[in-house]
Amino acid sequence: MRPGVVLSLLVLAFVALCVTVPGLLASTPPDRIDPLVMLEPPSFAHPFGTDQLGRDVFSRVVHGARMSVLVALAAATTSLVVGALVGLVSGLLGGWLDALLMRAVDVLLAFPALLSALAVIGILGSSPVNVAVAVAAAGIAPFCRVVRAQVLHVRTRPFVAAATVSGVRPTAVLVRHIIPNAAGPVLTLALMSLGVALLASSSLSFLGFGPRPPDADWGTLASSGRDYVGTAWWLTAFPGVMVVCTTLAVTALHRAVARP
Amino acid sequence: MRRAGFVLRRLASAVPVLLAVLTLSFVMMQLVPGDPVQTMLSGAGPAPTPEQEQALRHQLGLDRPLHEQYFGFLADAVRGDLGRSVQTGQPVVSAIAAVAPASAELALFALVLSLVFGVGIAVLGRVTTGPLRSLCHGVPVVFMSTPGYWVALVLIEVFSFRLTLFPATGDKGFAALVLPAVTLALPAVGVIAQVLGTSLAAVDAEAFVVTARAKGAGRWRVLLRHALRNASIPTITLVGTTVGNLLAAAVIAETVFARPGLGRLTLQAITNHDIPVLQGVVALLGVLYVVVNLLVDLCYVLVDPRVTADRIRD
Amino acid sequence: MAALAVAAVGCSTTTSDSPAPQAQPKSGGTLTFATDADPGCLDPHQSPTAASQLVTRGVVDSLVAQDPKTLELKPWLAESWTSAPDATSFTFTLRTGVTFSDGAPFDAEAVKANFDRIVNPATKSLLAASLLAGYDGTTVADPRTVTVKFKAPNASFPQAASTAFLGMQSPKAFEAGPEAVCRKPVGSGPFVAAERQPQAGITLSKRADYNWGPETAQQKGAPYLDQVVINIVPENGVRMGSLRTNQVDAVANVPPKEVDGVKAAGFEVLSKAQPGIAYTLNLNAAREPLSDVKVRQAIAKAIDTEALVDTLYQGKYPRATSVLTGATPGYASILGTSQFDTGAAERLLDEAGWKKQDDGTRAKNGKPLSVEWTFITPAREQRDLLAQVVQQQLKAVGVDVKLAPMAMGEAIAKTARGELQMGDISFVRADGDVLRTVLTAPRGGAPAVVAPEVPGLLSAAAATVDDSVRDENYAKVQRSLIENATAIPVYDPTYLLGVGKAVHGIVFDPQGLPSFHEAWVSR
Repeated sequence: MRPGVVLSLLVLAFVALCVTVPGLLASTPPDRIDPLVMLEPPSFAHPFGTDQLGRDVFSRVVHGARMSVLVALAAATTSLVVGALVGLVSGLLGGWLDALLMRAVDVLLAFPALLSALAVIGILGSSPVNVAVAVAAAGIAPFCRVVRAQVLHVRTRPFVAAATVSGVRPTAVLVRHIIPNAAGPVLTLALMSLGVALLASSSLSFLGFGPRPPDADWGTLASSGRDYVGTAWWLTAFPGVMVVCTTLAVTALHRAVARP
Repeated sequence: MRRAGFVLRRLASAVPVLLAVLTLSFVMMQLVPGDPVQTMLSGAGPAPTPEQEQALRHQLGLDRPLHEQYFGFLADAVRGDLGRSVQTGQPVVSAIAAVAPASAELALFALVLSLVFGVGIAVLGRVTTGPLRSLCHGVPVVFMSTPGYWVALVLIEVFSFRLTLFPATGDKGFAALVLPAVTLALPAVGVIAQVLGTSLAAVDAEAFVVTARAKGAGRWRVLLRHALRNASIPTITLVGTTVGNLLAAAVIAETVFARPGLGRLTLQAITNHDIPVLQGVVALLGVLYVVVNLLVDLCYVLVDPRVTADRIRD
Repeated sequence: MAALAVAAVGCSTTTSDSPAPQAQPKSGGTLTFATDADPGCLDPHQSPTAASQLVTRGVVDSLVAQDPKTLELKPWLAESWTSAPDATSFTFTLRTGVTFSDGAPFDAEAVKANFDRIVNPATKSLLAASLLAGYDGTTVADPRTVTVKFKAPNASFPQAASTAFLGMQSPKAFEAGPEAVCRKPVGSGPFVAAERQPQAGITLSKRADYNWGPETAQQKGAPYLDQVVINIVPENGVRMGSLRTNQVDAVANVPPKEVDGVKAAGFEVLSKAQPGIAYTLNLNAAREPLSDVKVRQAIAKAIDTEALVDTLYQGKYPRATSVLTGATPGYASILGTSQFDTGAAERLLDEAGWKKQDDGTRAKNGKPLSVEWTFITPAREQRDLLAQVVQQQLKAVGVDVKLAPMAMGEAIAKTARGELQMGDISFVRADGDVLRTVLTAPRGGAPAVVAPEVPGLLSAAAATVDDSVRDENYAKVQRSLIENATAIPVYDPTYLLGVGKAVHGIVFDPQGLPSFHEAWVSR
């Protein structure tokens, strides 16, 4: 394995620990207010410093992983499922429905993920679930394309014709062959889509559409530190570094998988 | 002549996309929970009377059947009338027109930056060896993985507050444009460098490059005359999507750097539930997408002699 | 009677006013000011916001001026005025020779045009019209004499007339319609506003022929500055950094935690306690579970305002001791000591039937004790953080607070529909009558339900020019709001203005907002 991949896996393992057992990594409760240590720079007691209310930033970042990662995961999974279904239907049925759906996908692709997500938030209002829905909606189109391309590709293969001749229903053949064929590209795409979802959802949180207190994700943490850019750099730096590292790890894995 | 025909056909194929975008923004309006009339009447002192509500509903045409509203909306949109802002009462088109130049200036400068640095990094990654080469391969991924809000804050902290090279805010003068433009450009630099780098590698192996090299053409000459020209096709495609992405990034950059522009207009529209403005932005993006893609297709024909107009779609 | 005297103020808060007089003021130059909130519409007749007033105060003059220190009313565009004994009509004698910056003359007809416009529903006034409640028309006796009539007594009208909300604008400029006035108000003030592009900054230019400054000002002629450029920089960190690196000359709303650091770096921070409604949390007595007074009182007792003020504002904003701030005429100290008492809070909740569960929350008949707090975003003065601390303090006694951030417009609509459970508000006005402004047509976040006697007390106060009666009634209203626990005062808002080394002579107006008329730059 390349060192980049090893490093990525290590980062993701750490993030996974943050998501599952945050209390183990950071014993200080993330919302414990301590007026005696407000806005302290990183130290041994507070490795990431403390915030405006004297809360431990390390603990907040560790606990914030759950919301950040789960929203991104939910969004990417939803994009995958919905996108794959639409792509499958579109490819299998063909005809005017296919043309219509692909036009719709074109239109979706015309809008950058963050803007479509913002539009969805504008309609639905802001909450973590809506953020996930918004980011998911923005990420459906690429999955449609990939799955549809696989369907069309498999269709032309000789064994489909052979199976049809031997009396098996063509749809059954297609589904049986499409799923293993499409799994690779779809999962590769899913990794990339996870990185995009993480960036988009944390940006939405930064803009104020994220989880409501006392919940916080990395985007809201970075956002709450922006009052102190210039005086307390650690408030924005560490949540930001977490977003960058996690996205980087996911993207690096995606590259490794896409080009073995 | 063939080119004129091609442009006409491309223009015609843009019509369904525009129609779809407009339909989408009409559907958007219908999906919004809550009553637009109540939103518009809220704010001023006492609660509105049913008569006031009814009057406004009639004035806005909201008491007509849905299909009539839809065709009315389309007809208005074609005439360039996208309604009025719920928040300020200003026509949506003039609200957008007032801030669009500021965003265009920002996006254009960011586009230039991302092309220069994106192509630069990709080319460096081909012609150099050793650590510089690995750097040129690694940097684009880092750029793509860094959230814009974080870039903006780091840039302000370092270049405005510590080094005091550029102003942190303001919308006047070139200096104020630099930091927000870099914020916008960074992810685009990453994408362009990566895609161009990959296709440069692919083109390098193609027959005509091998031939040119066999004929004794120099490394740079091959790169510039043959490889770069051919590898630029996917990059041109990218520029199409990049323009949209730059505008999305502007939402963050304009907020942090306190610049007027479409991004902040969009954000304001969302926080204030100002759906007509949001519709206007969506429609604008649709038009922009169509125009940019048309330009992109034209560039294909100009750049690669092997591409003919007929081969472009698919 | 010449001028309405205003009660002496029980001023317990820190009020450091203008900086020590500097050497010789220097004419010319540009002052760049970074403010935090986008003023939106710049028409004081339409906009209710302090952000808008900050800009328009220099552009429009008022009939009357209020002294920032004594809060007494002094002549400005009106040389003198009289009030009917029942406070239903006011006659002003106007100054002559005043012109609007578009050349139109200021006269009695202009006064009438302004007041008529404010109450016209087409103007869509969000605040000014409420200051003219009961307006019955203006009559012009001669070009210098004008009488404003009210159907019901409005004793605080002269004070209201001193605010920019009832400022005088050029009637000629009204013809362009309310949206045009939003972009470019035209007044007779020391500064002239340039047409404003949406979201962009605002440029104010000196009016060279200005010479009708109010009696309360040291400088009555044209301002020293050629220009004031107001940039809108919502990000606190960016605004403060811009001050530190001298990219701007002065900044609005210095976060309290930055004050000491900025001072140590050699900058000045001017502070001004703002008159009006203190920052209060308000509980809607018409909505479950807050309809039970015991629940409301328990919430009031569970909130440690002392700790809030120390933690968030480090004493830079004082703890509120009443619904009105200490700097407001009519203020009565109700909460000399903090009412914080978790033991009492727990007892009250037990008595009200909300039993503590194993997980620390409370429930009654299987229903959890939960309150939704609609708070307005973007939050000023770290109110978002304050909400988080309050959320934690209430969790300690078993009250679950759900925070629902909402834009101003939406919050106002929600208040109007009576759907708000818990809200928050502060409101600037240098008169006890601000209670009526906020409570009669409840503003976003204000208490929705008040004790039955409150409206009567407020209208009686508005009907008399006897300050002792007004003070007594306002004191009763403040006590009622706090005892019924529909209002929980937290802190007295204080304007903290960061000023660069080259800037001199910025003073505060009575509303607690900085004024640039006498400011100058030495460079």
